[in-house]
Amino acid sequence: MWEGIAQGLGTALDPANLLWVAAGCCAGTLIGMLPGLGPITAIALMIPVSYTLEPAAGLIMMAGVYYGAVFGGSTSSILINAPGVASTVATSFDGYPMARSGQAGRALAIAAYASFAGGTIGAIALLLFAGALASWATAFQSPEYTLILVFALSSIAAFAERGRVAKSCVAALLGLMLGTVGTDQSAGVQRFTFGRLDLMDGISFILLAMAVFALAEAFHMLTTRDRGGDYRPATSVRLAKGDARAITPTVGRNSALGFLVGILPGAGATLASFFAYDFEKRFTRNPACGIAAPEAANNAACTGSFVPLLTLGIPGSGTTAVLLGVMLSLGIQPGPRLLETDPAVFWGVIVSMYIGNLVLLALNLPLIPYISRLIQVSRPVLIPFVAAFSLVGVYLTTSNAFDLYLMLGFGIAALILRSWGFPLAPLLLGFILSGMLEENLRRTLYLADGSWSMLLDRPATVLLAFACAAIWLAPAIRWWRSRPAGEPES
Amino acid sequence: MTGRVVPLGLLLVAGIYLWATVRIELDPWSADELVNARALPLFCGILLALFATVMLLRGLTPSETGRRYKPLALMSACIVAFAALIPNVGLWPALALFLAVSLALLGERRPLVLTLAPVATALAGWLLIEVALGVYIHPGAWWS
Repeated sequence: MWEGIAQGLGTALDPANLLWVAAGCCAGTLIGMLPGLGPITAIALMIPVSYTLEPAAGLIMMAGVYYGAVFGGSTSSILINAPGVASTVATSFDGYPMARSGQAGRALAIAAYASFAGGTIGAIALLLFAGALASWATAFQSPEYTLILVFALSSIAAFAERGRVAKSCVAALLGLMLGTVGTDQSAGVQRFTFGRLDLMDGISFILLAMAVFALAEAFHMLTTRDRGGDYRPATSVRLAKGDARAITPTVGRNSALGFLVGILPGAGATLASFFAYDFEKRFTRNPACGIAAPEAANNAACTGSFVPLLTLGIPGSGTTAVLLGVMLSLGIQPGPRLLETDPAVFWGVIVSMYIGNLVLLALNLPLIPYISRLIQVSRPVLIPFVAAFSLVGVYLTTSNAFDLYLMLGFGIAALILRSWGFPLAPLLLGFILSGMLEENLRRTLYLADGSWSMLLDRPATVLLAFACAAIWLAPAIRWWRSRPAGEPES
Repeated sequence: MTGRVVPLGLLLVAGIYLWATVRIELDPWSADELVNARALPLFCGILLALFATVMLLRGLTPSETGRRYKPLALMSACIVAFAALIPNVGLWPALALFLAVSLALLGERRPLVLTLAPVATALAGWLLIEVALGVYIHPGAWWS
């Protein structure tokens, strides 16, 4: 292994490759910062550039684009509440309110340090445990995935404020319902397309995320009388006193959590960031930890998602699926034999992830004061640009004007739901998990000849089932214990 | 009364969704399966209807009031016009027009911002996406 790492260091530290990883980070950050353009779009947009490079350099650059786009997405989440990608939605929960209260610089600094630490811990873990972790992840089958997805949906209770559990459940149900639109993957039948070709492939994630977060945010700014005077520029790029101490344990535990979730094929950075936010909110209400947890987790998960991609050839997320296409087009065949056939590429990519993190930190910290000036733009100027970027982002990914009408409808519906106190994050979570849940549940039942017993006859599934039950029972027990004495038991 | 409009809307959505669910055409071999193409939609539709009914009976209180809907209507009209223009004039000219009109409608009066910002944004988008990255975007029916 050490010989491989040395070879990887040689590849990653090649001046030309260093330049490409820096270029990838820059391009990824700039593209990922634009609402609507997440890592998938960033990687897709850079495919033509990667064709002009050596395979190792092309893949190293793409790893930089991936990291940069994830961090860029966090920046737009924090500054204008417009996450370009689902994995940065959780960052906006505490990051956006902090930016609105004049602490944009502090929020961005926390995100930068947590991303760096998460990515670094992930890269070290990948370096040390790549082979072993891959075989552990492949031992998971459909029953485990089904219960992991049920667990993720159950975590919606964590996003719900007091008295909003029913509204959160309704939002998640709406998301699940939207996820069923299109061609059913297993049976191949059309569902809720009403005969329209535009809906046959389902509703795109980017469209829904942009409509529900970016466009609805623009509409919210439009319909309120607030002219945005409460925005203050980011004057300090440093952490506040006590932040480093507060976020250190958060970053440590959530990097580990993110990495483990990231290596599960199909789970990825999105689940990792939601899990991390949910997990962290059980320890503390400190908004700094609320930003650090999802940031550390999603960066560690990005690294983790390379484990099944590099060692098994299985993409762990939509982004790594695009990367798989890039690898194949560069003549790299990912899989168990990659380590033997192309160790320079295998280890070079892993080592360059760490270097990419260093580059990102060096690039983003000095740029924070300039980036955070975005928030000073007056609302009459900001609103059309937020709307335009999200509309163009959706059009660039789908090239279909019909999607813009759909987006308008979803944006207005999201504004109405928001006005009546419905949280919107569970809607997106339900949408993302819908197809995965249905597919894994079906596969579980096929494997067990239609019996539900398989969901509970494996050690990991029993553990996961207990975890789901605990999530649902904990609020009920809390309520039971906190009710005033003498209150009727009914 | 207004506290029941949203639950009523949700109930309507659930009703339409359940109606469309039972109209999903199943293959003969999947009709007898426990989890087929109708299973998850039925589960979600019924649960949504139950939640909406409870909310309808209890009523909802808005968390935000006093919104101005005229700017929303104007911006929505701009978005509809933008989507309608793209197939004809192409993405970048439509983007410049969208930005100029929506900036003007929202009260921006500085001529430099009204003209330069939309044109510069559309030009930068064209340069980055089409020229630098070589992504093909249909130029619009009027120019092709």
